[in-house]
Amino acid sequence: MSKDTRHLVRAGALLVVGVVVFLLIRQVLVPRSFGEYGYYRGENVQEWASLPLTFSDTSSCNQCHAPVYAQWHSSPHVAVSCENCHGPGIAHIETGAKLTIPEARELCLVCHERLFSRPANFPQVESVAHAGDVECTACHSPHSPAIGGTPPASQTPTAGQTPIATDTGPTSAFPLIPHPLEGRATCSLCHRVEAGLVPLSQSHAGRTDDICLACHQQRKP
Amino acid sequence: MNLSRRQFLKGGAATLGGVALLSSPMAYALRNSTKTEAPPETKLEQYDWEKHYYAFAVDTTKCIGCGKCVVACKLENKVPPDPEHTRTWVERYVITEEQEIFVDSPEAGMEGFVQPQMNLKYQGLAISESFFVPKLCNQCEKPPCVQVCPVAATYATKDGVILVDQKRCIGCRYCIQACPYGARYLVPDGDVTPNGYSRVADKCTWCYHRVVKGHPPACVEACPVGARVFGDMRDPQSPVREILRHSRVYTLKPSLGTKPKVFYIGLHFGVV
Repeated sequence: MSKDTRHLVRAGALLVVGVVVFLLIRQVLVPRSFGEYGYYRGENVQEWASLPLTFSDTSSCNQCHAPVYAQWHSSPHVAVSCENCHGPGIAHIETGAKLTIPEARELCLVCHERLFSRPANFPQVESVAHAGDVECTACHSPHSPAIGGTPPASQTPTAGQTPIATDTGPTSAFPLIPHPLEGRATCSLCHRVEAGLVPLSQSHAGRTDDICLACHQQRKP
Repeated sequence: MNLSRRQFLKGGAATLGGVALLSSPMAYALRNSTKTEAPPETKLEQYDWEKHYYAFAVDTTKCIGCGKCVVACKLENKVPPDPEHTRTWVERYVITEEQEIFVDSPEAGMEGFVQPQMNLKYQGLAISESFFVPKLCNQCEKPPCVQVCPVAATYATKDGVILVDQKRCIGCRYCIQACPYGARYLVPDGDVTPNGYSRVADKCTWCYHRVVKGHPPACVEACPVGARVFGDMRDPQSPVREILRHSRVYTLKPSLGTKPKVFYIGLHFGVV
């Protein structure tokens, strides 16, 4: 090897070693799946995709709670998913953990209290004027909120099975009258079993105006 | 010890070569050690991300400001419970007769807007219009957050969702600065993301773990009025495609060229 080429070989060898070292370090530092799909760690997509679910969906509720599901399904509240009020259901489905419902009045009013920002066609009430401090569930079943709507279905648990929660209907035996009576002609003008402005349940068929106030009192202002 | 320049260079080269030779099995061993990590429990073999491209629609004319979406998001994604760190939130716009615009989002909207103290400041105002605008990550087609990340920790999936690789994230907050929609936050000390990381960037994933399994995002599932709609642009029957066909939709800050994939129905000109 001539004197003139030896320094080139040395420099070349150093360069090769340097490149090898760089590649090795890179090998160690760059994650294995980096660049698999793009300029990121490909495995991370799978990491996000395989996170466990917390919320289920309404169809899984139907598997055990069919009667109340049917009642809810034919009510205007069908757009409100079960877990919206009852909380996330996966833990309940998998371990039987009990679901708890927050204070009913607050739960109802977060959607139904009158607010100037809500769309005008959404059902809203001035809660105090509408019902004082009476619980909403005294008159309205959350699964069928219209007064006199579909009556709650009962569900008998099969032997040995843990009792299945069901809707027992409005808590007050006799819903209170939420509006003033003065200036209104008769109850049946609006409240009728059939074709009434405010429908009554079938159990009220054949009843006349003179007996309404025997059970239903006017709400205290 | 006296070394000539030549001896030093020769010695140096030999040492480097030795290190290189020794480290190659080491490198191999290291690589394999990361390989043996337990595979994630659900392999989504039946899911082909090339067949989907997701989009989101928000109908501001339907939103009632109940905040159920924010609550559901926080529960589903283990988002810190405080209102400052949130993946989605609901804004209230109040426009007066004088065209003065007020925007607020008490508790990020998660408690709703009915509490008296939330409405005090609007008493006595001549309000001409008012409405709610739910906000979330727009999963932009041209995401500025992805562009600025210095460690390639945030990226767009092929089905159109921007994710954060929180193992790589160094918490530098560039992405939080870059997002024109304020959709990102830094996970505070003491809170951990579902992936188990703290002090890293976090953001809405459109509940990626749900949508790849065919469930809608938690906020969509929670919305009682159908104001939030999720769908697949590759499916002509998808509810989002239906909305794009029949409604006039708008995006937030279109002039920035980020091409958001959250489409708003009935968006007021005052909304930013």
